[in-house]
Amino acid sequence: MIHDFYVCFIEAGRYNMYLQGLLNTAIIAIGACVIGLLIGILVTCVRIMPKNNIFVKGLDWVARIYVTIIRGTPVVLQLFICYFVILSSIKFVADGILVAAITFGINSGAYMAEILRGGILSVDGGQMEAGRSLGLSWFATFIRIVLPQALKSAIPTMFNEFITLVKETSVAGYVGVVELTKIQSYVTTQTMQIYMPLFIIAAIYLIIVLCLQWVQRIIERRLGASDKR
Amino acid sequence: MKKFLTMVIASMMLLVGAFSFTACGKEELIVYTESGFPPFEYTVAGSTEVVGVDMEIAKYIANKYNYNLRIVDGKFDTIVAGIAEDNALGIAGISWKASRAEDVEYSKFYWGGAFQTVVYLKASNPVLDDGEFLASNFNGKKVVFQTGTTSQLTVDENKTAWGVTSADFTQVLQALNEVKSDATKSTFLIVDSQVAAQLVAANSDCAYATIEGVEAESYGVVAKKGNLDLIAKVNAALDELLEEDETGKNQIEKWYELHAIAE
Repeated sequence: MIHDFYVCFIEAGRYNMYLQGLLNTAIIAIGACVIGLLIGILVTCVRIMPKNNIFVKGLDWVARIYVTIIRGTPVVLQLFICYFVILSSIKFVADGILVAAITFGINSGAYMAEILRGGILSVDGGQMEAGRSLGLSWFATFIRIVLPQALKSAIPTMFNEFITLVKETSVAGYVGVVELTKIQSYVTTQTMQIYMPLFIIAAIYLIIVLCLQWVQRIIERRLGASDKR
Repeated sequence: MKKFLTMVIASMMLLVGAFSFTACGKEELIVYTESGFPPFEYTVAGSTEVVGVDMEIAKYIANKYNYNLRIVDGKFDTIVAGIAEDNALGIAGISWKASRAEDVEYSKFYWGGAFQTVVYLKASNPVLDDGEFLASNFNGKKVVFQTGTTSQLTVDENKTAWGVTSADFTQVLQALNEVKSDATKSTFLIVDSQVAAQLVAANSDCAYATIEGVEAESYGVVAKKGNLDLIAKVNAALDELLEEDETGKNQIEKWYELHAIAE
């Protein structure tokens, strides 16, 4: 057991391979997270804006289709389609990491949009009415009154999505990205060991998720400081 | 709000535009492969860089025609999808099959020695005829193989004749594990001879043999169907590589020795 671990992790400096995989996984996950948040906020804005003109109605329609398609298809297929069809020219200028980050970002954006929309809908309608009756514009009321409350209630589900996102990046190996899960196949072919690399990589993912949970707890504690309990 | 949206959309367009313009200077050549297939493409201990005969061929082509080489170590099954572009090749020990040749353009062969073999537990005591594994050994047994490879085609073509049940795996080592963990010793692994030699070297309880009625294969480089320009370049490069020197060896043979199965 210890010998297996030595062979799969320490011998010939294999820990460097895991670190390289971890780095690429982190780059994809963080990139996707940022893209996902941006798309999520944008789509949410469109979805909850008052539909008082044809432009907003059109955008709302596009946003609905986007969320439906992205939530309705597996992420591996989205990755293949992006890598081999839609973004196929990008891979001539950058490696698969960029395509993977964009794909997972687009994917995460749809979920993030629904999470944020759920948070915003959970804020009582009277808050918006109060802001509007005090003379604030719809946009100002939304940003200053509704959004802060919405974000607070959406934090647990948002972290849920971040955690899912980190683990979803494990399929990027299919398009040649050297991420954490792909390292398993390298180590297995180099050492003829099947189980140990799997356990090592599972443990690394677990540690990442534990860190994310820790960050979530800190944020929730800070946001909850003013709660009356 | 509208201004904000316009800004966002405009910046996205700029970003996409920027990507399409950065592709200047040296032309890119993407080579798709799947490592774990020594001596053609594999990684050495502690590294994720793919090396081997196929990668040397890729480098030679890139050098000769001044391409910027990008190696994508993905999945064997997706190579056909990957080579849909003009500047893309699949070099992964891809053996010639009539069904494959309908969909992709093959270069000339650079390797003709590979064939499908069966890896079995020595304890299973199959009947061999002059070292050849008789097809009758398969009757009523189970065969395992790696998806997407020629092994799969071989099994698909023969499984009714052999009278076997079959199961596929994403990795050849998983399939081997299935063979080794079968208490009834009635599971066989179908795999390329090159890989079989490696597996048997590392697993002393196993042996491998050629299969009755299964013919040898030849490996070629593949490109998009109709991409004759690129295939012509590949053929010219392979011609140079296959040319014999004063010792009667070509440059590819030197690599087989260079990458000779260690460990």
